[in-house]
Amino acid sequence: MLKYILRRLLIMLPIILGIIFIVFSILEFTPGDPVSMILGQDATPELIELKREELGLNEPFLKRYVTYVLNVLQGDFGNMYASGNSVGEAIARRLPVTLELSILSILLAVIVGIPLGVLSAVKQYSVIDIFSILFAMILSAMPGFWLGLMLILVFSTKLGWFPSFGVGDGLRSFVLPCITLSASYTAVIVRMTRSCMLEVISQDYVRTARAKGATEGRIIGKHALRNAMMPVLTTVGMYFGALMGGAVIAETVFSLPGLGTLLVSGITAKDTPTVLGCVTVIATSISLINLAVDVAYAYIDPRIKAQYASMGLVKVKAREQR
Amino acid sequence: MRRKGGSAGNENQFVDIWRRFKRNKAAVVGLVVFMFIVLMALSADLFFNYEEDVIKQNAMERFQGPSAEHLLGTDQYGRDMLARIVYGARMSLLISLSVTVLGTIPGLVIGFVAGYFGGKLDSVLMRICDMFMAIPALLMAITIVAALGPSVTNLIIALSISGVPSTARFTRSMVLRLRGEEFIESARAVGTGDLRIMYKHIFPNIVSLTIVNATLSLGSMILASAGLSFIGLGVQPPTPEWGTMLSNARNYFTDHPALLLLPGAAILITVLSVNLFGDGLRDALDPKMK
Amino acid sequence: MSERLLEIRDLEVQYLTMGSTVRAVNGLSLVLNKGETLGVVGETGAGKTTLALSIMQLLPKKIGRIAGGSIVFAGQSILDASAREMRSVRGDEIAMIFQDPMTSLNPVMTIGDQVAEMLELHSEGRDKKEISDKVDALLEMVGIPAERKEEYPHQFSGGMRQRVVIAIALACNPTLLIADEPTTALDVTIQAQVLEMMEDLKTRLNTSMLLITHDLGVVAAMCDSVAVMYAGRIIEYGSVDQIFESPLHPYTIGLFNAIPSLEGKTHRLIPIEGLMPNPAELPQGCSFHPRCTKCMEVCRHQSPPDFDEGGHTVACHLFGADKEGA
Repeated sequence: MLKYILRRLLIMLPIILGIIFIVFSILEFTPGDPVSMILGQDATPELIELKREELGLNEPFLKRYVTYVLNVLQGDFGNMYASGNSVGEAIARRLPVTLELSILSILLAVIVGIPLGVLSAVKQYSVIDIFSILFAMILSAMPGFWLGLMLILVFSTKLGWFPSFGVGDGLRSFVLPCITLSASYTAVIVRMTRSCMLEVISQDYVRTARAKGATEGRIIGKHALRNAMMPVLTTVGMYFGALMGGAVIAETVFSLPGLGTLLVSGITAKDTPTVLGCVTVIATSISLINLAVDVAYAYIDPRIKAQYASMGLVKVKAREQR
Repeated sequence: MRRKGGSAGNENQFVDIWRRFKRNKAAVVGLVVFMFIVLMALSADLFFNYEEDVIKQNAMERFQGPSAEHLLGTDQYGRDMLARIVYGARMSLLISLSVTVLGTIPGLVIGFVAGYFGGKLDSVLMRICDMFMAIPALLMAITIVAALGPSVTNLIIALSISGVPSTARFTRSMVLRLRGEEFIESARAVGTGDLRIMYKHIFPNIVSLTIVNATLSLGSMILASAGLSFIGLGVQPPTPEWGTMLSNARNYFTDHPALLLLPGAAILITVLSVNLFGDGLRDALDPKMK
Repeated sequence: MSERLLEIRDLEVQYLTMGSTVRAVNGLSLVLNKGETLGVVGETGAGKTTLALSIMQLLPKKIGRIAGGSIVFAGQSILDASAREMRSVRGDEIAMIFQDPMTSLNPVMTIGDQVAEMLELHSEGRDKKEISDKVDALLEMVGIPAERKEEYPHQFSGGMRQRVVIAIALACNPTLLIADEPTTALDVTIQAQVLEMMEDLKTRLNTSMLLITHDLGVVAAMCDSVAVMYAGRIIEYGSVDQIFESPLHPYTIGLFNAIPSLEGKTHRLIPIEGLMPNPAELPQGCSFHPRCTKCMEVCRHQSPPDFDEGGHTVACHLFGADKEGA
């Protein structure tokens, strides 16, 4: 098992280097010069040249890429062009906000989505089933930022229950952003859980459990749910990336000091170190989450555990086939 | 794979799909609503004057409620809300349809080549896809738009690029599955060439699924383009676009909720109808899917 | 006369699908005595599994429905039993072995836990230790080393899994064991082993058995009496000797002609022409008449009644009073 995790971490490394390379190239080969943005339009060519030299922008592209990667490996994300502040520190300060936001949102989505999906499947075609299908359909068709603004309108402006911006109010500050961020995620989990449960319920081993004289509760809880959780878990992991993308928008709506707002401000200022730092950290955390999901698999499904133990790479290969 | 006249078989297939589709009432409603939105967007010029109703500011008529002259009232610059929403539909549909087409075609080609030829080429292409996919599509699009500068064209480019890797992976997995099927083996056994196998046997089998997938992604593209416009990286004011309209309403919506409700409802209804239609289409094709 | 354990009278089972009613079982009657093994033979689609699921009250909810008749088990009507009563009957008194061992075990539970669950559900054993000992004994009984109880289904072959399924079924010493094609999914060599084991356990535990199969060889080896099923009805019933020595119904005769024989001279196999009728559109009269080589005018209009001759029953117009009456 440990060997498998180490192996996966080793595969992750080149992928993250590749991501840095992609973002590096996008920022390099698109029009717009960061230096003239920093210095404003009145800067003289000499001044610009001096600044370029200072920031190391005159080095060849590949050399700068390698230097950057080596620095990142030592934990140095460089300094912001405009202010000269350390990017690493800014990320460290803002990462907890984004993490709290996304973890709470996942929890909310799971806590609401899985029971609703299970109920929906167990009572197929009932009122509850129709309700949760409609609920999921509307949530997934709703733009997150719009939901956020509506929540602000109702719960901050009109009722005054929750703050509409910032993180000054502890957990209460996170209530509306989490609902906003988890909405489409919840929809996905409800649908996935429902369809997986419906499939599992018709399996032979569930009939075996019935033939044993097990109660409905035991059949659902002990036999069906655990088998249905496999694909649901995959979905939770797969959509984590989308969640991080949504976090950018949720943070913008609620003006949360997280990675998302840092990234957007870095992008608008063409501040390469900030953008690179944020994207690297986000991509790494997505890869780590996916690894965690794969490890969690092994604890749910003994077949996969056996696979990991025998030949660590098989699972990775199997995923490629899909 | 018993086909006599080719086209006759296809026609039958479409009749079949349509028959199954018709049974799904929600999907039919989705299709009807979506067609209505498309028609409305296409015929916008018949009802409104773009310069007069949509762009020109009119300080005397700010924040009006619904009236005979302005069916849905006016916005913070005294512009007709209904006209802006209708032209907003035109913008949203233009962006999302082009993104869906532009993102699907390269993805289809890459996935096809990777899946069919396999080997080194496949590994390299898929590694690159992995890298792109480790960056969330929305972040990818944000980065690209920011680098190119915000505009409608750049928004379309960015969203298209961010959609390519997942289409490529999906196509590849379908091709891989088909390649193992017996009818491909038997086609190869009688000496059919690569191109012919691809064109005659594999392509027709994945084209329907690709259309379904594209339909299903249309909705998320409408959402994504609105989201990017909302954070200022898409359509720029005064051009009407739903996300931009919502973004501009941020300072006024507490006093004038209509500015928030109307464009949002427009997005919700459009995406909902596309999704219902897409789900129905997928279910109608289901017998082939599993 | 021996004691009756299971008695089914005029059972009608229907499936409601997409606007059409499928009549899977049509007026089926049969009797199973204590300690006896009854073979139910028929082609795929004859309604054999539906019969088994009806006895267990496990017909697919919403779709499947018992439309008429009665099932009496050990003197009590199963159709009148409450859900709770049925749960205590299932597993404890009537146990079932399913067709496909590859799918009938839960892939994420150890086989030991799956055997233990049966014991726990019917409170066979006071504590963990006692249950665990019983699980060991049960596994050993079906020829699986007790050490393997911590393993998962995917670590076992098909034959071994079916042994686990059998261990589960026999865990609570049921009075009736329903085996639905228990060996169809297995290799021929494994089939023999599993059958032999079932025969042995059945005699040891004195369990009655309803053995559903389409394999006449299995019937000859295992059963005391045979019921031949066609389109949801028993068309011929008798002891193994009666059926194998002197089959009466043209369908039964057809079945015997369609299997190769090792003894005697090889003669041509004679398949039964045509297919089992679609249970949604059963033909009028005798449901076998479109395929019957001896079809008469009466067969097209009138469903044949059962004709009994010394315990050998047959539902065919060729026999009994009808012959003269027609």
